[in-house]
Amino acid sequence: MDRFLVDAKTAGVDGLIVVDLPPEEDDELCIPAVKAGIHFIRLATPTTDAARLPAVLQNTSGFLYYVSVAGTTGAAAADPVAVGKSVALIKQHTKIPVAVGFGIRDGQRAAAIAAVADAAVVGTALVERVAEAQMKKIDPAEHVLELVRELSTAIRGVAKAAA
Amino acid sequence: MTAINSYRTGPDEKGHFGKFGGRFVAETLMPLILDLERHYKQAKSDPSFKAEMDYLLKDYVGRPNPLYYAEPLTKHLGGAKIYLKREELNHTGAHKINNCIGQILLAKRMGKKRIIAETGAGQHGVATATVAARFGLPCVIYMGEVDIERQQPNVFRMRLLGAEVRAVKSGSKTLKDAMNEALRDWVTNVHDTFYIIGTVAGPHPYPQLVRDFQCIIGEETREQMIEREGRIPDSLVACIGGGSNAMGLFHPFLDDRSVQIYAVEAAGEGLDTARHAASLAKGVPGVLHGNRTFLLQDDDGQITEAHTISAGLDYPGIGPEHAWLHDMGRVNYVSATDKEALEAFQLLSRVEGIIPALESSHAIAQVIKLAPKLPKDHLMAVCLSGRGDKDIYTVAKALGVTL
Repeated sequence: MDRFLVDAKTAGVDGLIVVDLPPEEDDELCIPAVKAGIHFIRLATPTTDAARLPAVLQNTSGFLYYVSVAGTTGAAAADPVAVGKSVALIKQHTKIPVAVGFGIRDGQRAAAIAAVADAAVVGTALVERVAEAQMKKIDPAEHVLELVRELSTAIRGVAKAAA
Repeated sequence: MTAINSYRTGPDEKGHFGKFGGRFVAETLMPLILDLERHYKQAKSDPSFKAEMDYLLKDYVGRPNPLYYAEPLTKHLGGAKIYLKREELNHTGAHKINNCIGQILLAKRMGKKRIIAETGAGQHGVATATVAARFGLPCVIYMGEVDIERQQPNVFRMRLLGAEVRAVKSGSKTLKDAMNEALRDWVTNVHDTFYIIGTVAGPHPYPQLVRDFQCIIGEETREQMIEREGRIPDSLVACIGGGSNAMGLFHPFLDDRSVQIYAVEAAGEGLDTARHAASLAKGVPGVLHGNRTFLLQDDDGQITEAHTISAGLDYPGIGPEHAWLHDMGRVNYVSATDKEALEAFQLLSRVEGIIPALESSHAIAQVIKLAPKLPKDHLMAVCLSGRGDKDIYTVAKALGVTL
């Protein structure tokens, strides 16, 4: 673990996201990472209630990753209004930025999330674009970039509106 | 290593057995797991919980089951005096129901409306479907496609009991993949669903609560052996996949240092091949299904496929408390091959008139190796964890017989 942290720091790693590593198991990786100057980014979920939130936020740095639906990656999308309420609740407990992920598949949804959170995380939709490109026999890079352009345009629009 | 006063105090408050165990799960599940732990603690100190459990174990499951002196097998092997703990006589034909009764009562206490489970051989699936029917709760069982193929009778049983059996097509299509899929279901339906885990694995508190619910095997064995022979056994033998029947038999005897304990892993086609399920003999520590334990994995930490003729032992990991007992040297972890298990299956059928499950046949295989070398006053207690009716198609195929 020490070697990993030294190597990670040397390689320029800013932060770690380790799913399935709750605060109850902090001793082994999270605390040494924070001591080594690497952010430890934790996940909060719809089942993380106000009683549990402080435990999740302790030792969390960089940003908090709010998983907007109970389920696995690529799952159904969450209601932006509900997400907004949850993010507002989290913001009462912390000053670090809150990113929201799970179920964000297009520009419209990214914009809706960007309006209530500090960042929108897109993963599965991009991976699926690669598979789609394979099937359609088109350039995967261009197919992925097309979605990325859509997402970034949508999010920038929100930022301007807020400013 | 420093000697310890007791092997029975684990896990610690974070669910660790030494460096094993723990709670490596998605944050979505953490509040639920903590809630389960709270409810379990309350239930343990609630006399009404114990009373309902005792009643169901007696009148519904049929406990206590006998500790049977296997006289013909003892004479056949010519050494140790062999006793079989007859878990296969339980309702549904295996030890799995002991744990399911406990967990469904917890589900009821917690107000859960839906039951899910994973299954390998189908014994845990059948036991879960059974208690779900008894308590009127809808039930979904995840089962690997390969296991569905080799355990058809149990699949039909589960459907008769009103459960929905969902075929799992990912990975090796066996127990590990069924557990992955059940965990995905749980993460998605966390608000109303109770996951009945069938073995002493998964995130804390599962290894502890499954062990506690299975300890009745060892507690009865102790009482029955003392009643019959005036003393406790000299050795214990049980098969081990995840390790619930073994843990249930062993745990009440862990602090009786005179008792030699043998757990038998599935060596499949042999430990010198890649086709086995011996995670202690051939695995290294890692994290899977919410706990740290010995796992079959490659150099990149990817889980490799287990193989054994016995669907119930076909798992690339082992309960974390077993991993700890292995490290402490308290339990001897040995193995038996498919071939040895098949021979034991046939021997017990012919000599005792008892058709054992292929899982339990691994324990019998160890008895065949061990008993002849021991004196006649050596008392050996063996967990006959399940009945073999479910395995007749697999065994027929292995013996080249068409049914």
